[in-house]
Amino acid sequence: MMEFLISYLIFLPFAAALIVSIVPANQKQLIKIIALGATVIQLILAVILFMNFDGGKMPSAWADAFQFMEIVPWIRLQLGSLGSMQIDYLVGVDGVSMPLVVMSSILLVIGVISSWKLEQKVKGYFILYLILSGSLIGCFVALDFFLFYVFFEFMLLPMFFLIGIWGGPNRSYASIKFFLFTLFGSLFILIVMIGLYLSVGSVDSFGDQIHSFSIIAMIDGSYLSGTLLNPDSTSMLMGLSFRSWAFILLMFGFLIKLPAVPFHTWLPDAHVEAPTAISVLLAGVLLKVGGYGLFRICYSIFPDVAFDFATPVAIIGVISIIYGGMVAMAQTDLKKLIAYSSVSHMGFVLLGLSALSIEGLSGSLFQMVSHGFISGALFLVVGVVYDRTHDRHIENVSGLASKMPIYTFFVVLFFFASLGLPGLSGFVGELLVLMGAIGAGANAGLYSTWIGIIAVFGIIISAGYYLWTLQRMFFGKYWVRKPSWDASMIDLTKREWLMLLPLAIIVVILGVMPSILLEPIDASLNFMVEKLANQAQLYLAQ
Amino acid sequence: MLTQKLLEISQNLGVVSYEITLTLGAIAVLILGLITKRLVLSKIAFVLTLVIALAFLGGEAEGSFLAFGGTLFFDIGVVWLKILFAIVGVWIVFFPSNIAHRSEYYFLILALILGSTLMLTANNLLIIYLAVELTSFSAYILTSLKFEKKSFEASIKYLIFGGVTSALALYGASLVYGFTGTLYLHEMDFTILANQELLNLGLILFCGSLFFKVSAVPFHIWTPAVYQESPTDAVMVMSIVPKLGGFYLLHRVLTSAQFLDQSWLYTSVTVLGIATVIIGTFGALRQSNLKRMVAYGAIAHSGFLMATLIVPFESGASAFIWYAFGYAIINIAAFYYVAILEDLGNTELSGLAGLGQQLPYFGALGVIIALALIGLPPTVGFSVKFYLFVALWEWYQNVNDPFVLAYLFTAVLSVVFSLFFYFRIPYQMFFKSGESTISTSVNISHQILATIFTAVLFWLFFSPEIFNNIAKSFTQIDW
Repeated sequence: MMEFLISYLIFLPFAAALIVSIVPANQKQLIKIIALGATVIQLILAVILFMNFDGGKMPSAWADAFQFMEIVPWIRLQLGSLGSMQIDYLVGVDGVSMPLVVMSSILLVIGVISSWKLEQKVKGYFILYLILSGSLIGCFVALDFFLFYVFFEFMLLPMFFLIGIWGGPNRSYASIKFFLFTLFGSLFILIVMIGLYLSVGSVDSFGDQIHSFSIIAMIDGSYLSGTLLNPDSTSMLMGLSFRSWAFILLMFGFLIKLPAVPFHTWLPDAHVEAPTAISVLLAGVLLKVGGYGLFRICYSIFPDVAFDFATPVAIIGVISIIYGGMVAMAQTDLKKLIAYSSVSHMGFVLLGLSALSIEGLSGSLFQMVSHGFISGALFLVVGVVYDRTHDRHIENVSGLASKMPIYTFFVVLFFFASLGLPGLSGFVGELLVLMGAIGAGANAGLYSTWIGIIAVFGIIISAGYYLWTLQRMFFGKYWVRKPSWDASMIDLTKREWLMLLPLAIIVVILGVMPSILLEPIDASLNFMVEKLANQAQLYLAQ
Repeated sequence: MLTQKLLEISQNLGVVSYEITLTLGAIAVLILGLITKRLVLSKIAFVLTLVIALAFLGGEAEGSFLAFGGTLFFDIGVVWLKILFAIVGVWIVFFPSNIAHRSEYYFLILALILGSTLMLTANNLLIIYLAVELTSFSAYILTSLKFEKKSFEASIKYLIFGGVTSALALYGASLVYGFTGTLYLHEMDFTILANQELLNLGLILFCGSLFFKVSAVPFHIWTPAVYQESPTDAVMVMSIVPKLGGFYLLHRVLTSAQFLDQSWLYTSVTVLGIATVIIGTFGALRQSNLKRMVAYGAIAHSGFLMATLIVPFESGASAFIWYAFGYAIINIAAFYYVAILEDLGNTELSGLAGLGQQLPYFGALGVIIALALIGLPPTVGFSVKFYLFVALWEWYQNVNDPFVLAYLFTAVLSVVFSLFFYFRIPYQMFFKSGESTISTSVNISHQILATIFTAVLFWLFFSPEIFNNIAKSFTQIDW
């Protein structure tokens, strides 16, 4: 069981999708139960993964930095002058991917619960949902670039249809925009993937080149001589080395996914139109794929360029934090507000990465996990009010606290968690990121200290829009725009409790005991930081 | 002397048994049509011809050799493509029947395949010319077989363009002959004649007729009208067989002319290729008719295939064969799907509105085919494009030519735009509600065949070894 744990995690949802596809479409309840069962089993497997993950193990080399590895040869091609092509089904987790897998599994269960009342085209919805879950997990655990890319592209498709068919009034525009933006980014990743594939590999005893897509080999820097992405290559394109271009292209691809300003414009549209459960997955999990890609591919493979480009990356991060926050403040649609706050909070992920220190990286990873839970919860919270009024405008309701006290309690909790109140999870991530960023300025001299200092204002801005929203929607005299809404303004139902309570508990636990997450990731991240610095020096020396 | 030649010809007859079978079969189909009105007999004769022709291919030797005093050229690539052509031809009997289906129709398809086969093997400028003309004339008539005003219009357009390019090709061929003193490709020695402007002009004019056949920019103008107005199954054959025949011939002509050594010629082919990708892709964006859109998509695919021309032939040939086979399989699936839609009553995109909600399974098949046309994983469309990109990048790594890099980026980015237009199919089917005007039940046998095609699109992504074996035998060719 243990040695195939990861494969079960990936393929269980696909198998469940197959089962759902043969269930007659009118058996709505049965379909929902199958989907719930599959995601719950997936969660149990993820918890087993978490329990058995050896966080204390300090790896000695990249080759043993991953646990639960599985390798199955997939495609072996002999390609004339191109040498031989090797694509493997290679999966495994380390401290970076393990927490993201666990977080995704939790959100996937909650997403199913949140879709429980869906009545339209249930069968299609859950088939797509399960396919999406499988490819999301696959993306986090793939250690073969080709495999990663396939999952990365493949998840767009179910998402496209989930937004486009079950979304709001402007859904087709939003889903096509989402698809085009992300595909555009992923094609840049494809180009770099081809370049890396041709540059990385080994030479066999006959002198033939064996090319490989293994991310581990790419991180390890086993470059073939005379290739463009080899650190000793002197070829330039428009004044920049090919490694710099590769880094920039990868950045493009992942920043669109993350998203960072100015590539974020698809996100508010997609969020506003997507059904609640899909918004939860979009903000909670899909955006993290972008961050994870930066960790695993962009930064790990090109550490030398990462040090060179620390300033521009940090500046993009800060602009996302500040600009995202300011735009969020101007929103009148609650869902759009939270979408923009996601842009702002994902900026912290980028800022933390750019510091390239242990504080920065662990803050960045912690922020990804914590934002996954918090933003998931926030979209559920929006869903609660939308279910009752079919309206999301902030100015259309006020004084909800007196009518729905428990709901208000959860809203306050998640708003405070998101704005970074100490004791809740958002605080830890942002604090570590800011420590990393300011440290990178003050100690390492990577970039100006001002960058970190400006980022602090992002927290103040987010406090501004959250508190203002609380005041407008929840406090004051109870009032709703349409009298017909009045009857439906009841407090949380059991199903809503079931979705919000686990997230609330997690947010509090992560805030009070951050070590529960920081400990297992510590060894991996320390190793990564150390290796990145070494490798960057080595590459730059060449 | 004469007896020696006759002896050689009689010895070589075995090599062309595929072609002879096609010729005899075509005549048989034509005669059958005259003596009986029963279409099914023509159909059987048609299938039988292709199957017998296929059977003859089994015994052919490997390696490359010349036959008939050097007029014909044979290698393993020819064999593979002949197999592909016959298979593509056979598929048309599974298409929903339409007005064009009469015995002459099957005769013309056989003639088209015969002409394209000769394009594969021709090694003499005049034989090339005759092969191109045979393909063209069958295609002109096939286009008009719907007997509507618009299809006549398309056919005349095709005829005029084709006539002009072949006249120019003849002029070009005479220039080439004048300079080299021979009509045989393998005897031409361009190294001592390099940079003779008139010779290059002759080469360009001659290649023009081949570019016309493969619908490369600027010789593509006939394509949309012809694809829209011809019977869909004929379009399926026309978009695969003559095009791949033309590309294979282009590979040989350009390689023997050592065009890679002449930088301006090389650059102009590169630029034309980039233009083909761009014009095909952007042209498709504006279309409202499904067949026209796929036609522009096919032009863009020609642009991709042209990339294999500029990559030197070891990796170029295997990239070509991957793309050629992948393209053929995807196109069979795509046109089959279009034919079913046409049978249901509509090929306008707006007419598909709401169809996916009434027929979710059939709609899903359309999505997968669209994915393959765009080139997204997990379909074979991704594999073939991916492999082409690899070949381009590798070539760029060797030569550092910015044009090659531009080609790579254009090709990659065209995928985004092709997403935009191909996904109007699922967009109309699933996102638009609205009463679709067309009948809403699909023949179960059509549905099963479409399922098999789409399954093949997946299967070839997950285990591409079969392609690899074909491509591997290909790289051993010494052109």
